[in-house]
Amino acid sequence: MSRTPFGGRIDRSRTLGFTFDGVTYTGHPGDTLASALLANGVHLMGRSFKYHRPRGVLGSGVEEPNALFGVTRGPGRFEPNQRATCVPLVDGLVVESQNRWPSLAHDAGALNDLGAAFIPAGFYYKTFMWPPRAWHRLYEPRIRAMAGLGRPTSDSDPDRYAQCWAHAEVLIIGAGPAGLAAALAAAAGGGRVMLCDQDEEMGGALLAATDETIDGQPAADWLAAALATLAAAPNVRLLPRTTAIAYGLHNLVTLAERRTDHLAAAEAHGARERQWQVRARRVVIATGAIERPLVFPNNDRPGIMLASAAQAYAARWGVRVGARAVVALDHDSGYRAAAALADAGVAVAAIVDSRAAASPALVAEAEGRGIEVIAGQAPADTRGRMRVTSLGIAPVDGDRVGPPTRWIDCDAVAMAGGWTPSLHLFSQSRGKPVWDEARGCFIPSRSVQAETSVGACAGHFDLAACLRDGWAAGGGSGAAPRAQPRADAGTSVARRHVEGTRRRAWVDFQNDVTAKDLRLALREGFRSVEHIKRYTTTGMATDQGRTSNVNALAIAAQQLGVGIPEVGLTTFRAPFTPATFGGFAAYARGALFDPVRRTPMHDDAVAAGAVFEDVGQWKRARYFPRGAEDMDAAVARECTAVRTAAGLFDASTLGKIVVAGPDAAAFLDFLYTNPMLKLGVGRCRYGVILRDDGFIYDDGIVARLAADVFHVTTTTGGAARVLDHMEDFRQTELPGMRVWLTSITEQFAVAVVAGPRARDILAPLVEGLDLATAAFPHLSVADCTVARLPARLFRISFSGELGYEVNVPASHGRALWAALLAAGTGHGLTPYGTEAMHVLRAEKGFVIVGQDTDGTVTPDDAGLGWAVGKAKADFVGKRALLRPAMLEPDRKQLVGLIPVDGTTLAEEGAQLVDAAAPTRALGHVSSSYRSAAAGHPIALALLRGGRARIGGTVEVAGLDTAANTPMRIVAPMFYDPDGGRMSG
Amino acid sequence: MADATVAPRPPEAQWLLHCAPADAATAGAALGVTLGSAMLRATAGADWHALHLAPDEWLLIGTAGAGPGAVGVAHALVDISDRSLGFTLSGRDVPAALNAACPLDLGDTAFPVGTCTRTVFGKATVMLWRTGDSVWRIDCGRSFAPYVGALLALAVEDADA
Repeated sequence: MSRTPFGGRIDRSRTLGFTFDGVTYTGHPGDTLASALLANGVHLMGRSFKYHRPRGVLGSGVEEPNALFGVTRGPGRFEPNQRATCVPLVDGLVVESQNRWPSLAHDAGALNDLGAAFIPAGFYYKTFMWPPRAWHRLYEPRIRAMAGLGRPTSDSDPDRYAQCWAHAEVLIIGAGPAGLAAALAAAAGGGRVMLCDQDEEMGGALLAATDETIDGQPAADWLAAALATLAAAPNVRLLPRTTAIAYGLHNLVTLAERRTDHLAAAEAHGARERQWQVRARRVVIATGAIERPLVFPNNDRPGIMLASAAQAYAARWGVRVGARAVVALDHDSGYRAAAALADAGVAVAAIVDSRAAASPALVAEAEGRGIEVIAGQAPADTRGRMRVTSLGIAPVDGDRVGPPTRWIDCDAVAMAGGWTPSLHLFSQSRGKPVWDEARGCFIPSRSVQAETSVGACAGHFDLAACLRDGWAAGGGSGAAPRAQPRADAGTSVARRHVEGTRRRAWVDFQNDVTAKDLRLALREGFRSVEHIKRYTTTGMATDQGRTSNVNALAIAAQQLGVGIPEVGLTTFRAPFTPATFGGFAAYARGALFDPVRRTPMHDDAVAAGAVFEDVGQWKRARYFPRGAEDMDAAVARECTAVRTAAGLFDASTLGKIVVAGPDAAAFLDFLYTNPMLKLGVGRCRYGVILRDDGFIYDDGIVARLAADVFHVTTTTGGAARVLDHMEDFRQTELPGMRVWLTSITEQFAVAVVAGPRARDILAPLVEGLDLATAAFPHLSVADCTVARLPARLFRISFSGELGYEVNVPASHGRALWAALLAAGTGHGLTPYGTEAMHVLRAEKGFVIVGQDTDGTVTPDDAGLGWAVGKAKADFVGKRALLRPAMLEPDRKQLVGLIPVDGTTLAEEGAQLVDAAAPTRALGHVSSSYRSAAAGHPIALALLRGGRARIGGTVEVAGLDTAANTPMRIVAPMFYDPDGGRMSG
Repeated sequence: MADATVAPRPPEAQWLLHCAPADAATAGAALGVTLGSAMLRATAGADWHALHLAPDEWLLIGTAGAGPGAVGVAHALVDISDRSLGFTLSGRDVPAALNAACPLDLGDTAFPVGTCTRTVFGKATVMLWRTGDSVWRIDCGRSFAPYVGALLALAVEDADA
């Protein structure tokens, strides 16, 4: 066991069991998967991506590049690529290693490592060029099989995910010493304060503190007191296990809160995650810093890790990372890690300080613990296959380190290469990082949004400075929490050439990028950091280069002989750490993926056996099959019923708008192509709406209820956008008009009664209105009573038959439907659906906007030139209609098509071609149906110069090898051309 | 368990009134309710609540079946009593529940009692009205009510902070 006998923040009173690759281990509450495995002496945790090198854990937090596992938290709850350092240990966790076959210890893929000389950076681009045909058949499938980490799950996620919005005066990201000081200060200020932290526990670096004190208390005590104060403050919300994953515009920060992953299955209730969208007046970024590894040959063996991680495993989790460790450092912080290891009972064989003049005080303290300090030397190689067994060191000679001159036996190496502030969120807030040569890192420059970066993420690595910094950013008055000031120093960043020909020094551990790969890319002419990154894939793994970016930049800068700022920094993109799809989808799944809208009479249609279709968000009855009828049979029967008796149709989804006010008529006259000023009260007119560009936008009925009140209808799909279009013109183009718009789409349930018996069915139900044609002719509207319900009755027709549209308040829709059905008994009244409605209107050549038009069709193209008021001074789209291109005779125009053979149904959407020259598309079929009334299939089509070709023929192009279908070109009117049936 | 309950509201009269802001006082006098007050605030008269939803727009809410009388100025007045369905929400955690799918700041400072506004709840357009310290109204187009109701149920479940 590598567990210390006491100490750390784990709960030793309880034991948790888990399995790793089938072997059972135990740990304690408070452990991560990584600390529990290390406590069990397991260092081999993964295989590298490209060379399949054995790897151990490098870090202790989100920076971890190596220890990635497939983790199962219960049935259906498998996730690949989980960082062992970020998985809280719960009882019963099932863990599997990745990227190895057949096992982690014996991995066939390690053969890649032997052939490493043949697969340098960019080898894909160089190798798989020839022969060209082999890419698809051989190379690409093979590479794809090798690529990728972990296996995806095919199970549906059984967990639930939540989302919410929140507003705060101050949002503090990171609950380390700087963030806590900011939160304490902001809490006293009184506004709403949110403090989030990605870790299982709040405290940041304080969780692994050893001898630091704050305000005279041990750091752990101060931390507990600070968290208690914040928890008790009514204006503070603490969000542990919550990662700020994205920083958007106007201080909108996205947080991912993990709510149940740390709980045993029996204790996990509610949503697994909650994604927060926080709008904050001020944001304090206190995201800390991540330690950098040292770049030296074979620096990737299990047992070699960041010094901060080794310290955290000892101080926070009570785990010794080895029996005998060497601390290799470029930065003073490594001395504290060495002390922490020694305190935990790890024999520290030596501190190897690359600097010639190490701090005398630190050296004295280390030597006081009996630790040998070797100054002016640096790691030069390591030995050990599944675990490091010794570290070779050599004197530093300028920017070179030669072959090892001394070997030190050890089973752990702690690397302290200095610190990289976590600038991700600052960068996402559109701030520009700047290079600070003195501190050897990028730090935030000027804030772009209402944001302050504090503590280590701003380059302050001293506890006292972090506390002061955070306190000030939180608006604290009085004295900040105090700690002993320290002057840690260390600036070197990977500028030493250390590898020989056969010795590779890893820069990006997860993507297996070595210093040699980077230098090769530079020799091959890559200069931009963005190109170097993509060519070598450094920084492109799931850890996004947290431990590798700055080292890679330093190597590039050195090779190019320029400063690091000249090489530049790659862009930080959201999310900060991998985020679940569930968090983004949250409530938008299953029945709540999108609203499903149903009409007031929906249940009646269900009872009548309707088959529904989706029309936008609406469910509309498509047809009402009887017995064993298929759609064609049902539609033919429904159409025949409407043509010979009567049909009943639910038109409630049509858009409806009241346009009212003294200038309503003038407003509509401007919005529609048709003249509207002289439309009589009680009369209706078919109207066309264009966009500015002259193309048809929508159509519908305009009905005048009173001198200054109109009821207009729109298409089902156009209901919302026509209202927006009108409102846009009302507010921005015609603000002087006294006219107002009210959507009444959902106010009314609408039933259409159409057919020669329509009047006979409806008349007995109507009070207060004479339905005789003389009194209430085609294109009339009136308010009346239908079946004792208050109703607005239209006499209009989209079927070509005598037709009425009955509007009643929506809550009466089902009563109306029942009354009409009852009245229709004996008259052959037949419910019909949208499919029959489409056939009936196509037989009449009535277009459907969006089916027979596509945003490039003018009224004249659609055969609606008659609806354009030639004498009108202006209307929306008028000027566009006068452009020469809009007047060309060869434009695509609406025509009717009839198959020459009298039987073949044209494919909707099929191209039209000339038999003589079938290579040029002349247009397309926009609507095509079997027509019982016509006795043969009919189609509407947009055909180039179509009206002039009426009487001729054209062919509907067959797909692939199918034969073309010859069609006769006719006027788009297949039934009752003079309209006597609907107006009679 | 979150402190929030959701119940469908009973039917009521809803009329949408539009008129020029300059005419609002006159129209309000005719209707017996103060119009033209602050935007996004509700006022109450003898027969009608008036919710000021846009510079020239007031939603009049009254007892089911009621209809406003003459207004006396150029206007539009449309019966929309059947256009919406709604829910009454009660409890301290209602703002948290609403914030599951509504991005507005619903705190006491930004959204005091009497505030009303059109906003979104998930993918539905809704009208939100805080009628009391812990009492809220959410109205939506009637075909959106099943969606809003189901989403509210989940939101309440998740609202216990």
